[in-house]
Amino acid sequence: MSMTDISFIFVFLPISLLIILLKPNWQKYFLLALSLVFYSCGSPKYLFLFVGLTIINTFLAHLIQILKSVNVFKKVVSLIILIMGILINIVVLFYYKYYDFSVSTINSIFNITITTKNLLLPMGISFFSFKAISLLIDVYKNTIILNNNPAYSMLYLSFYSQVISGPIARYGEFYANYTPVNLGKGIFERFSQGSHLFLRGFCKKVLFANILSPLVVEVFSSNIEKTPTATLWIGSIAYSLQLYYDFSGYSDMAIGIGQMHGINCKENFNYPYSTSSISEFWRRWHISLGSWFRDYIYFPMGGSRVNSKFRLYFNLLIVWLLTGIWHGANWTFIFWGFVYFFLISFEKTVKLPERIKNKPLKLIYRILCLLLINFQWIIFNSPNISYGLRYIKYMIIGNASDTFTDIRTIVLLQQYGLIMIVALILVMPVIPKLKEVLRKRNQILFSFMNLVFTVALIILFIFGISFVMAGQNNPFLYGNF
Amino acid sequence: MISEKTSQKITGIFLIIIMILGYTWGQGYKFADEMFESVIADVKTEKIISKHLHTNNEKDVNTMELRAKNKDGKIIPPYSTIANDFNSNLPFKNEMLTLNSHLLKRLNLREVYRTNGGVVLPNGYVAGVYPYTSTEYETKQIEDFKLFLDSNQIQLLYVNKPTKYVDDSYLMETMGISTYINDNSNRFLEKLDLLDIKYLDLREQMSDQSSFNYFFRTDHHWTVPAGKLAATSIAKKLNNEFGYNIDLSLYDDEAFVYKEYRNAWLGEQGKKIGIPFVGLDDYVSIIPNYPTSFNRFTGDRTITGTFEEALVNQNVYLPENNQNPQNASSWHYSYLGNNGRIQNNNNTDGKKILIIGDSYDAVTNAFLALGVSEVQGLILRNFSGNLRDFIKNNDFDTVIISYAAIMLGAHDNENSANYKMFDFE
Repeated sequence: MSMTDISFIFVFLPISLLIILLKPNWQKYFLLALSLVFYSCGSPKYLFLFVGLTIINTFLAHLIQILKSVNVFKKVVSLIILIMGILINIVVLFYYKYYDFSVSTINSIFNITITTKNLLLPMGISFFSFKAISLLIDVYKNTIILNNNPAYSMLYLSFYSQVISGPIARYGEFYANYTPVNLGKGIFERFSQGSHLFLRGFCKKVLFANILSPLVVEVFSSNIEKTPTATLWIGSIAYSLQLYYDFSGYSDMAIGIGQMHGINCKENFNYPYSTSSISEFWRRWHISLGSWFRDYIYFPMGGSRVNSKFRLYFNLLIVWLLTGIWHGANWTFIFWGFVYFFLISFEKTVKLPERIKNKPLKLIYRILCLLLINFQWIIFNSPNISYGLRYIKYMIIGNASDTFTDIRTIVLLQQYGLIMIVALILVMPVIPKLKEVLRKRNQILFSFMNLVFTVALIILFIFGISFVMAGQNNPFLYGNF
Repeated sequence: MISEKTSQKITGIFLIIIMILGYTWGQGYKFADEMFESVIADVKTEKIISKHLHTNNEKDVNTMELRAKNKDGKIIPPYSTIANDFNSNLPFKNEMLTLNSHLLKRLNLREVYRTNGGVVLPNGYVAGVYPYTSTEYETKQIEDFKLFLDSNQIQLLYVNKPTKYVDDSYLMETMGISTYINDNSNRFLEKLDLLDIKYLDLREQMSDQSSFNYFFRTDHHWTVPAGKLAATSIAKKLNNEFGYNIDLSLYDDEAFVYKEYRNAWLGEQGKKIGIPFVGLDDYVSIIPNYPTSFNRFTGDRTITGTFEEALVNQNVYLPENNQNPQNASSWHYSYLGNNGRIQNNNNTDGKKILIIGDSYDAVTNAFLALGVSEVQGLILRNFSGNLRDFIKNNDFDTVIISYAAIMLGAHDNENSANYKMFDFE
């Protein structure tokens, strides 16, 4: 079941929202049960694995909390439990996600034939593992205090709106407002905030990401040696837009549903394509993943507060290689991570964009960053590195077709041009900026704009429902990672 | 004043209304029960399958047979089926499809259903896009089949039925799309030439005007006049090259009554794309104006009557059955020639023909039956018996393989509904 499915919107979501009306103390149990039903719909094969991992992680986290003490022996034991817990999650993640990739790599290096397993990936395993590891580390480091009732930890690990593709919320922020007192107060206000986000995310996913999907599939599966340069550009820009609208749409929906239930989660995207540098882009894109790597890998290694430059770059290299590997078992992701390491290291070394004082130059640098990010998404979406690099090469210097456009380019632009233009405008913070200006200058106009945007959102949502009911629905792209 | 909070409250109220409407109007409570049952069944099934996989070879495990069953022993459908049924049966589905069709038209999104319906061409026709296929499998299969028929003194004719465009470059010139359906046909027919298998390429018979005129705009099938033309062409071919003596005057245009229905129905492709985008299709029904008498045998049933009584279901055209074209039956299938046996009571001493065909033959077979004694229609994707035994036991004079060009290459995709169409075993 996907959050854009009709059965989700008209059946699962209403049932889950009825839980809001229950006694606050009961809500978590019903939410937990519904989360397991949701998981079973998407990944029935791995329900027992999922439940098992949830119970084990909850048990270990509570054990670590119980053993919290100044007593050296207990500290050592809790450290051992922490390591054990992290290893369990990594081993499971490795087995399901990277086993075949590792075996194929070993086979090709040593020219042997170890059999691969062709395992189906358990739904949301990458996100689950990272949440579980953060739970264990946060308890160990006393960053959080677990509620004594294990249902809280289990719900945190399995909450249905975050189980497929995150965001990788932390236990502390997840339950920041989740107390029986808070759950009883301002239900409608909370629900309204959440529903606004949910509607926005739905429209992003269905009306932009899904519509652009056939264009992306066509260009990336075409013979790139013969595809005109302009079509390659259109395909790559469409993919950059699709990925953003898909994943940020999902995140908005996930966060929105959480808010309706009183569950907190920080924003996962902050207009990443309005960035002025590569480093800033990663502070705006998939924020929960970036902060996870920062808090659990980069900072513990010393971060940027290290004595030697070599160590700083080494820390960055590890973080970016892991970021790449996390996204998938393919050399493209490792290469993609390595290129980000190189770009971010370059910015740190040369102190960009801070050193650029001239406004036109700043704009040029910003455009250059967006170009590089676009090239990186091409590698990300390619079947292998060679394909990705050739794609980029043909975009820049042309290919054997020696044509910039053909009839197909025109037809694609006729079909997708308008959607792409609107999508390009809305990836920038145009609406918040417009609202901000109006709020300060003209309250009446500001009110009118709010009304217009709200009505537009409602109409777009109905349009979106029509697309889904007509069968134009795709799985979320980050569900594959 | 409308603040951010007020806006959010409006969307909150809207979402509540839409969920209540969807849940009650769509009978979500029924779906919820089925959903819980099927989800539990999915989990149980996975457990049963994994147990079997431990002790059996993967190929020997029939996952459908192993699905969890209810108390009455009936298989509980998987969640995906339940969810699809829920979506299909929503009472406001047609309104939503109409809205979607308006949007597709306004946004000029012509290729949304490219893989399962077709693209909307600039001339308003919905046409399919087909990949390249080597046709090696099809050639080998038909070569083997020819040997079998030769050894039983049965004649073989292959009929190539076109798609809406008879030149692949048309799609390239109008939409910039590469398609290979005519190229595949050309290469296949060249191979038939080498194998000395007689064939009739209906593209040649339809070259007097635009090939689009022979097809519905919103359906992949050809029109009734095209089906009649095909039957006439087959009859001529049988006379000229297979020793038949069919009275071709039976197919003269003057020997038929034509009735035209304007903006009457919506084809299968149109049902996906929606009326606002592609509009309704016209339809022409054709009935002989001379006396006819047929028996049509399907399963245990026998229907006896004239052409229009036995071979055409005219109820399909009634206004009361077409109040909602989106849900109405396909008018193409009002002709009933493609499945079962048709016996011509006015020509009992003529020859018996087996037509291994497809849905296009619903119309063609009915008209072909006017000139011969017996036409047996057979669609291999629906046939579970032994074809060769069936042929031996029924004493056919001629076997006609009559396939739309889209059948070439269907075997390249295991999931294709037409995967078995060239399996002549």
